[in-house]
Amino acid sequence: MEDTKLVEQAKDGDAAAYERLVREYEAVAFRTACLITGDAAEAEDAAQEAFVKAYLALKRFRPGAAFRPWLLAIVANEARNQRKSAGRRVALALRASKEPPRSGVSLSPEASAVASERRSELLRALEELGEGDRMVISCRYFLELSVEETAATLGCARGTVKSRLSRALGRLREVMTEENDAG
Amino acid sequence: MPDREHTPDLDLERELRELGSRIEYPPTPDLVRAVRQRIEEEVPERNARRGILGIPPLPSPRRAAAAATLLLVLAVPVLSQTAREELAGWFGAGGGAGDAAQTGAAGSSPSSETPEDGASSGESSASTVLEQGGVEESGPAFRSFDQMVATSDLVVTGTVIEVMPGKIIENETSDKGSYPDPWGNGGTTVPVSEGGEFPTRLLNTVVRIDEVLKGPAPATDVITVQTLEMAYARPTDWRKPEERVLLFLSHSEEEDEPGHYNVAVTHSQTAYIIRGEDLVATAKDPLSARVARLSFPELLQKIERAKEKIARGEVKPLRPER
Repeated sequence: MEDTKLVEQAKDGDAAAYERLVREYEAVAFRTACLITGDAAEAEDAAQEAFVKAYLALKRFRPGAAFRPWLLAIVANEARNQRKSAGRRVALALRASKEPPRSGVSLSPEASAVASERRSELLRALEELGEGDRMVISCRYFLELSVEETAATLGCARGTVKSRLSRALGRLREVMTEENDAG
Repeated sequence: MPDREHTPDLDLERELRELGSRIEYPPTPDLVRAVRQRIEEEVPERNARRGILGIPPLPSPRRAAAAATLLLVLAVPVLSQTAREELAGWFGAGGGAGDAAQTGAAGSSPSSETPEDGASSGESSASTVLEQGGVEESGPAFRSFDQMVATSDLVVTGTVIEVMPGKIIENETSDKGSYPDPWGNGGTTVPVSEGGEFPTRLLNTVVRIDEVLKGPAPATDVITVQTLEMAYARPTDWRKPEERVLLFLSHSEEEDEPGHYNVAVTHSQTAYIIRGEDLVATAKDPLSARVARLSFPELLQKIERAKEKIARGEVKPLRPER
């Protein structure tokens, strides 16, 4: 069922409809919060709080508007608050699976090792970036959020996402080049 | 060992997408049950609150200003039943601008939901300092809510009518440059002082009182609140026309006139914006955060309790250093 319909039903007090929305978006909400807080427990709290606040604000939700970006804006804000409360910087500790994606093509052992090393380089380089750069890259490529959703998560204008992303990619390239030169 | 020479460095975006498909996140918790339980707890509580004392919105600020000192007069707080009812009515009637600017989830409110319009996602949490508005509290700070009440001659909710620039607190002149005067017509400037710092300026914020939570009430329902602000920029916090505010005030030392007040001792702990049902702190400190989490009935209750303690001599006001 479409989000719009579920939202309308939830507005009318249909708890099951809202639970379907929670089920639908709990993963992206939690992962978004994880990237911001850097901590699973804080991310869970933030996501939960965001779903509760979104529910309480549903009556003011504009009919026909997209639910997901709106929700992600709330999630991101809650996650930032959690992080502030914890009073620490985010320790980005992303790890990449060595297993090929389900739809992935099998590589030779040598090619697989090269690809794995390249992924490690990318992750290390990401850790070198500032939080703003990391977040815009993570939103777009890891969470695969749309520009609108990324804007909502970062709290910026849609047009700003593209320029931020371009700068972030440029800096990522620079870091990788420096590391390769040093290595 | 992989050979970097043969690793393609182009198409970074494709590589990032591929990496993204492999990122290992912690397992997603089952949020449905927890959210359901929270909603079941929250909704009856909110409905009850609205039914008895419907509530509206408070919110936020940023500041670079210092605190004005205060003349302390302990006031006997009186909040009549009538006042409470009026207050409840005011909050209950907060449907207009208040709801539109609601915080919490509301800050990212659907009606203004496009995050790119700025205020939405950034200011969406009600019980916290504004994303961009809060400042670290500095200088004198209250140790407790009771002490803040004790130090305040007047605690009110109100609506800002106008903000008027007052005199600049002079620094020694220098040749270190100047900034355009944000309150001028383009021809005036604000000089940088010899020490490199900026001068400050008195700001007179005219507030129409909606309700007195601690009195005695002033003779008129329009008061002037004096604060200090860095002179090179206009304030972007609660000192804006039409902003609804909760203020803890003390009698002005600068103006020996009725109806002139300062924020009590410390600017940022004593000013909150009302947005929807929530208060948003303007300072990043634990006391402000606790105040911002109060519902309006809880706020009233805490003020009443503080008054009782003050009357018993158990709480003393914070006296600023002179």
